[in-house]
Amino acid sequence: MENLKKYNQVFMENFEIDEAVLAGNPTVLTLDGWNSLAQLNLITLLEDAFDIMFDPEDIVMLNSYESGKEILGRYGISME
Amino acid sequence: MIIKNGTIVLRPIEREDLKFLQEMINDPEIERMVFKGCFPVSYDRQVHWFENYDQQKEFRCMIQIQDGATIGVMMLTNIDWQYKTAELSHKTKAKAEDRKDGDMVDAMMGVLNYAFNELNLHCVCGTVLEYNMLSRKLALQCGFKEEGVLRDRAYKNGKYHNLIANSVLKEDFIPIYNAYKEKKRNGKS
Repeated sequence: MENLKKYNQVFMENFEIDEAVLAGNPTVLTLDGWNSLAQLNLITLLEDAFDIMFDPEDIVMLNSYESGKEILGRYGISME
Repeated sequence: MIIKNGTIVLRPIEREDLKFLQEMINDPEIERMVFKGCFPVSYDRQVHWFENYDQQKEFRCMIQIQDGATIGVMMLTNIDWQYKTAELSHKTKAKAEDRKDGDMVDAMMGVLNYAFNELNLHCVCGTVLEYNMLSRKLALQCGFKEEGVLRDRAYKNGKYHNLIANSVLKEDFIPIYNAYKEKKRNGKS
């Protein structure tokens, strides 16, 4: 639960969105501000928050709120 | 001529850029994002390419933040003067602190405006890896339409991947470009 809070916080901060938006699974295509610069910042914030280093293929595949959760799961970070 | 648009300048490749270009070509993270990969490139080979390529045959420019860092490269290649077509591609490699919000939209809008309103091209096309959603979004923002899926056309990291073929016609681009310029004039990026 703590991880989910942290994860949501990163998304809200990075994209300047309310928590309610996250319920709709925002994606690269649906979120106006999700561009390559926002992606760089998102990766840095997540790496800092969870003390991990993403593989290049995971960076490319992180293109929605839900896909980010799945990818973090592969690094042993559970959102349960 | 160089192209200035919003946050960026598209300027010629200079000898000082070769190290940066070599780093981009050899970067595994960038390799995952682009269709055509290549074997590792040495600095000597990069210099050899620079000394032999014809600057007046293709459009290859560095993307530089106005009064700031160089963040990537933008290219119009395979220019066909009979049918007035060309292929657009780009790469970026920069730290977040060296970037500006909307820089890549400015770069792509700048090069497309140049292609249609200076070179008098009719159609600019490209391909993008299906999973590269950021590149697909950027192209869509600049007027590209996705034309179809090229199945299993790329092979990366042990798997085949689809490519998306896309293109933008001059007549589609002009209203989108005008709306983008209007937004800029009103101070919205």
